[in-house]
This record gives sequence, C-alpha cells and structure tokens, in this order.
Amino acid sequence: MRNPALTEQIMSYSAGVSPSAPRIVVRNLTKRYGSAHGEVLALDDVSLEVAVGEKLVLLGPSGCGKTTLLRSVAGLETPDEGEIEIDGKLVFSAAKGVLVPPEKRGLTMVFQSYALWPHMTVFDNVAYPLVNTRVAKAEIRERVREALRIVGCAPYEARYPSQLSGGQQQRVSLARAIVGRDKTVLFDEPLSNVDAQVREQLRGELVSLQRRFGFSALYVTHDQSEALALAHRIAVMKSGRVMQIGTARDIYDRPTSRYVTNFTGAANSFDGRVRAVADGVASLETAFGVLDAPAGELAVGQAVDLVIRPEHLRISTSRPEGNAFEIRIDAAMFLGIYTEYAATHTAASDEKTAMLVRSTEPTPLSEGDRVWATVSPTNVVVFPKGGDDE
Amino acid sequence: MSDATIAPARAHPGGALGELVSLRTISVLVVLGVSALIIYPIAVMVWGAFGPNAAVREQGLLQTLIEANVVKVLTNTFIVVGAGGAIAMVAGAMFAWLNERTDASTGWFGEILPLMPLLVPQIAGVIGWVMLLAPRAGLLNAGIRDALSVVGVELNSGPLDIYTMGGFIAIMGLYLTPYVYLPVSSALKSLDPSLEEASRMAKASTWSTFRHVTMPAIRPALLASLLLVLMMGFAIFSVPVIIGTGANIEILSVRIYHLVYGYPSRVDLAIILGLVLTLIVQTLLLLQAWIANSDHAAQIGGKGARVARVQLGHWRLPARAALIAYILAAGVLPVLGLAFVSLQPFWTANIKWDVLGFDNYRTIFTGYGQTGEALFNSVALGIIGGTVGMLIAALLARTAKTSGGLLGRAINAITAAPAGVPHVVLAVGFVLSFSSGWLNLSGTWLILLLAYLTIFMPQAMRSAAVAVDQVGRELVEASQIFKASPGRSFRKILLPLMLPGLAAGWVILFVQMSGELTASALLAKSTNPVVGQVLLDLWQNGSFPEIAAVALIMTLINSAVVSVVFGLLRRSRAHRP
Repeated sequence: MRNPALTEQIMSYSAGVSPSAPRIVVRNLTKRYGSAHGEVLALDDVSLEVAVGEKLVLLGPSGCGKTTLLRSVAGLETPDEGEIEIDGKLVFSAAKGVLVPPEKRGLTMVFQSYALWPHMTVFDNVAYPLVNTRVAKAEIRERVREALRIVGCAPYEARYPSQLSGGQQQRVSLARAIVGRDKTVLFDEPLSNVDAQVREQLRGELVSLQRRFGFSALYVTHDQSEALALAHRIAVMKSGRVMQIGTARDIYDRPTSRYVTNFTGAANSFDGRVRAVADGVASLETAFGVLDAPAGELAVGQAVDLVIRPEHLRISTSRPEGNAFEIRIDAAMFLGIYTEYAATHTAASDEKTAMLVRSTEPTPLSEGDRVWATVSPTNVVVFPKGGDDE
Repeated sequence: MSDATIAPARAHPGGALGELVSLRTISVLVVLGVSALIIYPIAVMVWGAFGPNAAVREQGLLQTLIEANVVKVLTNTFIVVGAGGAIAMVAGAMFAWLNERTDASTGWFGEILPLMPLLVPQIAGVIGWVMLLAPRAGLLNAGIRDALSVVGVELNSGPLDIYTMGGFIAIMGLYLTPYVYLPVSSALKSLDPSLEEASRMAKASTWSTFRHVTMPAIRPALLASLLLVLMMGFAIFSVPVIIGTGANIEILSVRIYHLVYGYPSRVDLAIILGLVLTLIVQTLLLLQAWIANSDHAAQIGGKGARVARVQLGHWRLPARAALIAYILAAGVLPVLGLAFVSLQPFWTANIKWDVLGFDNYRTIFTGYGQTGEALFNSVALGIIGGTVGMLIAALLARTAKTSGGLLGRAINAITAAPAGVPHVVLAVGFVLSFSSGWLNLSGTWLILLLAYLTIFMPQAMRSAAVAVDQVGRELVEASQIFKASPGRSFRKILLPLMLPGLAAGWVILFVQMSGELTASALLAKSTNPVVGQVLLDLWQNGSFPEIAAVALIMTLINSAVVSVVFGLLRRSRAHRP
C-alpha cells in the first residue's frame, strides 16, 4: 500500500474489537405501530448478529420490517422491546431504559435518497461528520479528498449535489459514509434510486470498498439478485419476522419455506406424497412419477409440497437414470444467458402438470418436442403440507 | 413494558427529538396562547349577543334582524359576491387555461400574477381605480371624454361610473380572479399532458379533448376555487368599504363595521351579523375540506413534460391581449392613477402639468396628520409581526410534523381556525375582549399585533408547512447519523434549508400585516394609527391626493421588500435548483 493515509485507515478498521465479538447484536426486538386498522407488528421478536467485517443483507418485500430494523439499529426509531448492542456496548434496551442517540452509536449510513444536504458543497457534505467529531482542519481536508478520490468524485468537490447525476450523488454519499472510519455502515436500499447500468457498477464498487475497509455492513434491499450478489449472509424477512438466515447459497439451494423459495428466485411448486423413506432418501409420488428427495423429517404417507427451481431441471433427449420424467415443450424464450421453456408433463391418467425449465444447452428445442427432464435429488426441496408459512 | 421503563427511554428519545423535549413544551404553550386568542374573543361575542344583557332578548332575534334591514344587506351581498365571483371564475379559469395550455401563453404572466396582490396592496389598488373611474374626476373617464369630444360627443361626467352596482361587481371580480387562477393553473400544471395528447391521438378534437379530458381533471380545482372565491367575497372589506359605500350599496362585512364604528353603535347587532357571516364562511370551508378529501381526480405528477400547446390561430393575439390587460388592470393602471393624483394639489380630471409636485408627500412626513406615524407603525408591525409570526409558525409546523399524533392534529386544527372567521368579525371580538377591564389593550400596538398574528396565523402556517416539507426527513436523519448533536443539526441543516420558505412566508405576512385594513379599521386609534385605518379616515374626510400618496408609498415599500427578498432567494437558489 503506497498511500500512508489509506494504510492507516485500513489498520484502524482491522484493529480494535476481537474477531470473536460480533459487531451488532439484536436481541428480541419488537416494534408496534398503531394504525387505523389496529396494531401492526413492524418487528416481531427479531434476533440476529452481524460479525466483524460481515455484510448481512436484510431481504424482503416492502412492509416486511427490514427498514424498521435498520432504522432501529441506527437509532432513528425506538423499538418497543428488546436490546441492541454495537461493539459490545448496549445502545438500546427497553428493559433497562437505555437509548443512545444516533450520533453516539459510532456508525454511519447510506440513504436511499442519498440525503446529501443541498445547501452544502460536495466537500462540505463529506467533511460534515469530521467537523462534528472535531477533527483538525488540515486532516479534514486530506481525508475528504482521499474519500472522494476513492469513490471517483474528486473533481466535483466544489459542486453542489444538485449538479451531480444520481450515481455521482450516491458515490458522494458513500464517501461521506467511509470518511469517518466508522466500523459499521448501514445501507438503506442505496441502489434502488439509480438506473440499472449504474446500479451494477456501484454494486461492484460497494463490494470492493467493503473488502478494502473491512467495515461491517447491514444492508437493506428488496432485490433478491442484489442480495445474492452482495451478501455474506442473508436474512429473509416477512411480516416483522426473520424467516431464514444463512449464506446466499443456503438460502437459495436449501430454503426452509415456500416463502423464502419464492422470494429468492423462480420456482416450480408441485403437490406430492411420501411413499417410502429409506437411507435418508424419500420416494415421493407426484403427478409426473416418483421422485427421490432428501428424507429429512418426512414420514411415510405425509402430503408434501415439492419445489424445484427451473435451472435445476436438466433436459436430455434419451431417458436418463434417477429422477426423470417426460415433458413436451410448449414455448421457448431465448433470454441470452439461458433459454426458458414452458413445458407440460402428461400422465397416463391424462393429468397435465405445467413447469418452467431453464437450460443453457446451445441446441434449441422447439414447440412440440418431447424430451426428458431430470433433477438431482438434492435439488428437490420438500416442505410438509400445512403448518407452512403461507 | 411498565411505566418505569418508559420514562428513562423518553429522556432522550431518538435523535432530533432531543431538542424537541423543550421545543414541545414551548409549542404546547404557544398553541394554548393561539387558541385563547381565537376562542376567547368569539366566546365573549356570543355571550354579548345572547347573554343576559343582549338587546336581542327583548326583541327576539328575527325582529332585531329585520330592524337592522338585514334582508337588503344580504341581498346586496349575494348579488355582489355572486356576480363578482362569476366573473372571477370565468376570467381566472380562462387565464389559467390560456397560459398553461395554449400558444397565447407568456412565461411572465404566470410569474407576475401571483405576485400582484403582494406588490400592490388591495386598498391601494381599489383607491387607484376610484381615481381612474370616478364619474367626474376619474382620470380614465376624462380621457375617454376628451376622445369622444373629438368626434363631437360632449359629456360632463362619465361615461363610466365606478360607483354603481356594475362598477362594484367588476372591481370585486378583478380582485377575486387570482383565487381562481392559482388553483386551476396548478391543477393544469400537475395534470400529465400525455393524458390530453392521448386523447388527441385517439382522434378527439381540441374542444372534445378539453371537455372530456381536461375539464374532468381540473373539476375539483374549479370547485375548490369557487368555494374560495365565495369565502373571500363574503369576507373582503376593501372593495365594499370604498366602492360599495360610494355607490350606496352596503354588504355584510361593511355593515358590521358601520354598526360598530358608526353612531349610535349597535355592537349587539354587529355580533349577530358577524356570527351569520362566520356561519356562511364556515359552511364554505367545511364544503371545501369535504371536496378536498373526496378528491379522486388525476393527480398524476407530470414530469414537467412540454405540452403540445393548443394553436389558437387568429385568437392568439386577442387572448394574449386579455392576459396583458388583466395585469394592467390589476396592477399598473391603478398605480398610475394613484401617481397622478398624488402629485396634484387637489384631485381633478384636468391635469395641470405645471402644478404637479411632491407637496403631498411632504405633508405626510411633516404635516399635522398621523399619516407619517401610521406609515412607520404599519411597516414596523409588518416587520415584527412577520418575524414573530413565521418563528411561531415554523416551530409549530415542525412540531406538528415530527410529533404527529394528538398534538400534531391539535396544532393544525387550531392554527387553521382563524381562516374560517372573517377579519371583521375577529376584530369585533377583539374590540369586545380587549378594550375594557383587566385586559384593556385598547389603543396599543399590542392589540394590533395580537390581532394580526391571529388573523394571519393560517397563512403563516401554510408557508411554514411548505418550508418544513422542503426539508426531507432523511436530510435531518443523516445529520444525526453523521454525529451532529440535535442543536447542531437544527442550526446547520434544518434552519438553512427552511430559510427560503420561511423568508417567502415572511414577505407574505409583511405585506398583509402592513396593509391590513379590516381589523385595523376597528382596532387602531389615534394612539396607534396604522395605514389601513388612516386611509379610511382620510377617505371619509376627503383628502384624496394625500390618500393617493400614502397608497403609493405603501405600494413602493411592498414592491421593494418583495423584490429584495425574492431576489435574494432566487440568487441563493441559483446554484441548487
């Protein structure tokens, strides 16, 4: 590292807390809102942790409580119950009557609307947190310029926010978030206001910024591909509760509920019944034949939902081994990186089952083609019927 | 969670609320003060009208009203307000459509029209029109007579007479037009032009598009402005007191004033009529709120897309001439009339150029009369009242927004209440409440200041709410997140961002308070003269050139204040549009 200021900056990120203590701890957080139709639970007994240097993404549709959770951690909202710790320090506890205001929580935030102050220049915007913490003038100048250089906005320091594009404004807002060297950065849908091309670019820059400075990030989004791309771990939320928390791959390949399955990507859902269980493998009876799946806690005779993602269905022209059934191609849609087929299986009883298949095979199939579809047993996700979340 | 655990958490509730712990207390006190200033005078009035000492008790309500010749007054009121309102509706809506949707549009029209009432005080404009159109001495009449004599027609007076029902109605229409123009033009602005373009693409004609697409979309705005026009029409005082009195046509607002101010005074009758007037305005206000709530019209935010303007063809020049004529009539012509008369030793239609001079202006500042003192008082009250009013309104608007709930609703309801009480009625209430006993403020600055603050609080709150809304929630939150203390967030972020909106609101308050006529007419005395009341006095005693000079000075002061403040605002906004 050639730049001494930057080296110091990175050192200051990695120093401090021992790696074992989590950066953020949220315990049993509950927040109620009164509304015209009675009480709404924005947060319903939520607990989670963010490790040092970890990016945890809160994913869910609007109204699921993810923003309320983020704002509670920031100190912009006061939950009704529970506790929040940041760097081992209690910043909120309903039971103990602790409420540390946002400016004393030692974190920064990137807002959806950028939240750059329109009456200040880009330089003054970025300098603001340093001025507030009484950093010496000469150092402020140096650090603001450095931060602006890192996000590629050095040429604009004398401009006003309104003279910048949306993407540039969000970069300045990023500079403001890293200039104070805080160990935690909160992101409130930071990319949802910029257009698609800039979004991809900024997403990449976010990843490299986080690698470079090692801050912990709590990141809110409703965009599943953004979540999968950015996260070390994802917490999928619904109606104020965390439905599942795990690595991106866990969430995608081993969802524990139909809600999580559907929210993280396209999925085919089928009805089934457990016919036999042996050696950790369950045989499931479906409208399109018998499929093997991980047995889990399934019992013989149980009615189940099966979920198979379209890209986990593989197509072959001859009958393969294992989980396989015949389908007829109804329509094909070429989407660049893959081709999406709408297909139907027709059983002997004439019962029809429709499904989507995504294939990266170069040879195209056309309407009316009859082929074999196959799926690896590990890619068949099974939930017992009833008792589910939906 | 028990109460014991809530208490410490509330000790410094999240972020900016820290500053509001004390601000909240102040707000509650201010709200209580404002409500007292509204409720107490009205309660005193009602007590006076129907209490044990009221004259009504002996005669009965109906007999009292008949004796007061109320039927005649009410008929006059409905004719004048109805006809003047109709003119305003047609002119205002037409101007709005011409300027927003046709090629007769001129950019400056839309910018100047809303400023007209700020530049020229209404009382000055009305007096200016009298100077132009009085049957004998009216300058415009004299000009027309001269022109007619060239073709052989000789007249001694006229041909126009402002002191008639027609003149009365025309001037009412003139001053009510902005109340239609503003809502309708903003409705047209926010109506996505692509809706109209889609209609044109679907083979509809210009007229058919106007009828089936544009009209339904702006109907709520038209309805709202109709109610606004009626409300303003019933409450307006300057036009009826000057022109109506001259034409011997008395309407409700002036009748109330005469009952209090005339001899012998009949305050009890004034109160009853005041309550009738209040009832009318309140009904209109409720109707308006009801319509606003059930407004499902297209509120599609156009992205400022360029409208494909309707081509008027041959009609373009006449249409544009009408726009220009309105600006001339509302602002330029009456001021010219004032200027001419103010330079003459006495008011005559025969301008003798060699006797024109500034004697009247000298008299104002050095003479025996109270005009100089009144000018000083009015400007001072405008400055103090504007500043105090905006500070209170900013505090209340911010508290209402951040705290919400019961306090927020109470703030909004109470500060909006004076809008439903005509100025003349509120003034009567103030006369009754603060002119005797332990609260005797009669003849002081304070009674005027309190009355102005009460009367214009709804206006101040509207401006302040706009200023508060301009500051997005996230901007203040970001300041907290980036380590600023609540006080610092207020000084560095909230205040600078609210300042333009507050300054604009201040200008409106300054203009309205320094030119206030209605309440001043009843509350100002020789110990606390203000321009509005002195102008009325002079009007009754007939020193017209001096009146013209005072009115012109007020116009100049207003124009200077408006252009300086708005100029500064424009410059400060230049680099951040």
